[in-house]
Amino acid sequence: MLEGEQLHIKEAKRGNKEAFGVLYDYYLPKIYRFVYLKVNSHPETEDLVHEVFLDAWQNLHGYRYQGFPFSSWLYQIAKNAVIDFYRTSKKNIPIEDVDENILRFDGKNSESLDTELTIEKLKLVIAQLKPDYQDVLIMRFVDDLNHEEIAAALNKSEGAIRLIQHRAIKELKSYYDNYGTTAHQT
Amino acid sequence: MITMEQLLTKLKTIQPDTKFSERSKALILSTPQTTPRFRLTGYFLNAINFSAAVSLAIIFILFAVSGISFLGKKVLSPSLLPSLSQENLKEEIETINIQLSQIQYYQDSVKKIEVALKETSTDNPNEAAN
Repeated sequence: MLEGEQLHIKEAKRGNKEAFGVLYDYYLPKIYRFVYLKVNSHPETEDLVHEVFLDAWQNLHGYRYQGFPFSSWLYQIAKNAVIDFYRTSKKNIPIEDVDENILRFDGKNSESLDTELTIEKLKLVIAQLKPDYQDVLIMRFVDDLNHEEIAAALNKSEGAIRLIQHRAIKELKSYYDNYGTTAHQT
Repeated sequence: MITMEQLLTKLKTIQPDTKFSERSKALILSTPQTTPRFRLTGYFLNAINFSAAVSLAIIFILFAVSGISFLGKKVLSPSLLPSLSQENLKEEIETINIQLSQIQYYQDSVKKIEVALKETSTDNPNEAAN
């Protein structure tokens, strides 16, 4: 959580652009990663992230502090933006279109893998998970949100988030290992 | 061996383009905020909602109270209860009196029979012994 966050929000609500700029700079990378891992395209991510922050700026008066950080509110906006994006454009990356070279590696020797290759593979594997699983994994391990923050962002209990995280990790591992094996065999 | 959790942290390297972030921020901050008017409208809407809810609750309570009092008058009022009317009470008292006089009569007749039996037994002691 950003230090002095509530103060920045209070100032930004009064129209202080600098205060909102601080919030923007702090949360942009997190929201960007969240959206990018869901839509898998930089230009579309940029459009969506711009919309998210514009929406946040214009409707900042609607944000009420209820014990959860500003991030929970932003993630809710981002999540809705991604849902709208898929609802309207129905865009997705078919797995058949992915370059096979990306998938050609053995999961057992992951320590020696190139980071870029790992990221590409992870992106593909995450895309196969249920939306809730994706949200929890990205928020927890990529954006470092705690369970309480994730629960607030996804309107679920902390217990439910822990359960989803456990299942998501298990499913991710299963998909990850299968991708490696399948690609290696073919 | 690297766990899935550790692998996922590698995704932190995904970063937005700096040119994009600067351009986007400038565009956003040049847009006006939609603040006081909506807030005021929202306040009035909330106030209307609240007053509507309160008046509906009051109407409901009035209906409930008047309904209960009406039913109470009709069903529980002593003047309207058939068992508590004066005529019915008189009839009930009369039947009670009759029952009491009957009881008195039976008690008297039992005593008279007892006396008569004693007298007959003392007049004929042999018959009484047999």
